[in-house]
Amino acid sequence: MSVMNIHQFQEGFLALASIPEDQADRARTIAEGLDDGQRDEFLGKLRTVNDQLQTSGGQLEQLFSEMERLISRTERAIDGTERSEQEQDERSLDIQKAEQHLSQSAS
Amino acid sequence: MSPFNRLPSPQERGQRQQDSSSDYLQQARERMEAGARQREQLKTFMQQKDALFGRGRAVRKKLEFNAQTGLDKSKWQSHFEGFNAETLQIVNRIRGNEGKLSQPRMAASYEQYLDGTEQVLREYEQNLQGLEALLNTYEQAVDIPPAFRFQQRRPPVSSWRWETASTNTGRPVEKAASPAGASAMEQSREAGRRNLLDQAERRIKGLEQSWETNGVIKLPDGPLYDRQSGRSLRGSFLLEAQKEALHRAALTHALRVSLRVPEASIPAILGEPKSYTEQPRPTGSSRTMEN
Repeated sequence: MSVMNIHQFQEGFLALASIPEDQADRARTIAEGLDDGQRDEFLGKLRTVNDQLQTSGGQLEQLFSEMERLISRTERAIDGTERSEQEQDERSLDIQKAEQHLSQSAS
Repeated sequence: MSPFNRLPSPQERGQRQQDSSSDYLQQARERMEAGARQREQLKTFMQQKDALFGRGRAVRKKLEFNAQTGLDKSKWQSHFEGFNAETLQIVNRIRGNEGKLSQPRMAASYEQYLDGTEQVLREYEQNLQGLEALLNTYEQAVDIPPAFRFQQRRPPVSSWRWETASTNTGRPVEKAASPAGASAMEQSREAGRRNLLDQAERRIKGLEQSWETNGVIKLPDGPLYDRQSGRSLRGSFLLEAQKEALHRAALTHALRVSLRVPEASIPAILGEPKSYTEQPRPTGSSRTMEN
């Protein structure tokens, strides 16, 4: 069974960047109260959790990228519908004019 | 029959033109009506979209909260800022064009995104819960006081009524025994106050340990000073009163930031500061008053 003093723990713990600050504080306090053997085991468990948090954090980041792409697509779609709306308004005006002309011709 | 008889009369030609124009106009009207129906559908979509963005905002808020508690802040923060700005822009634009969109499938895409995000968030939260469980187990093993273990689950401190204890030092001290008849609740409050101060002291100790390589504590908005020598970075020594004030500032910071104690409750927890007015001014060339 390997052993780990508090300085080695602190050094190893620095790499666990995905553990939130509050929990990191608590982990450091706990480590002070553990013996050298327990500390090594504790750091191992923290590494596992850190890896899990890192994975889900990475997935969230990926989802953000997808959302950004979706926003770009939406913007392009809005541009298209704005143009289409303008054209439709113009056509509507043309129809109104033609209808007026026809009714005048008929009378 | 004369070929001339097969030619339409001017009246007939006029009627045919009129019919043709009417047909064209009829088709145009149908197209316009179809457009109007589509707009109605889009109005429904817009209502749906508002709800979706509301949900999106809730997800982002949650994400921001998690990011605040995470260590990867700088990365997340810039991401969120960009995301928020872009989303706000698009929401405003969509609202400005209500009824004009023709992309109902966008709702499905947003739904899909939000579902995915919420699912990953749940995984993230489960991981955090796993971490909490691990820490709780170890805290029990090393016998850390329960109030320190479950600090985030305590009742809000603002609901407590603190007695102003005259400690005369601003440091945690044992209060005199409660007078006869003092309620258990008052004793509990006093115990809670001492416990919080104890925690704050431990947090400061943690800071000192982590910065022991340079022996300097940096207060969030305050000066830099060396706790052991009392020397500020400007090279002169601090008086005891100033050291005490800095210590109280560090405790205040620990209570407010680390232990999440409301600002208004902090003075009562710290107690009255020690008075130094009757103490003799330090003598000797190495101890001078700071301006």
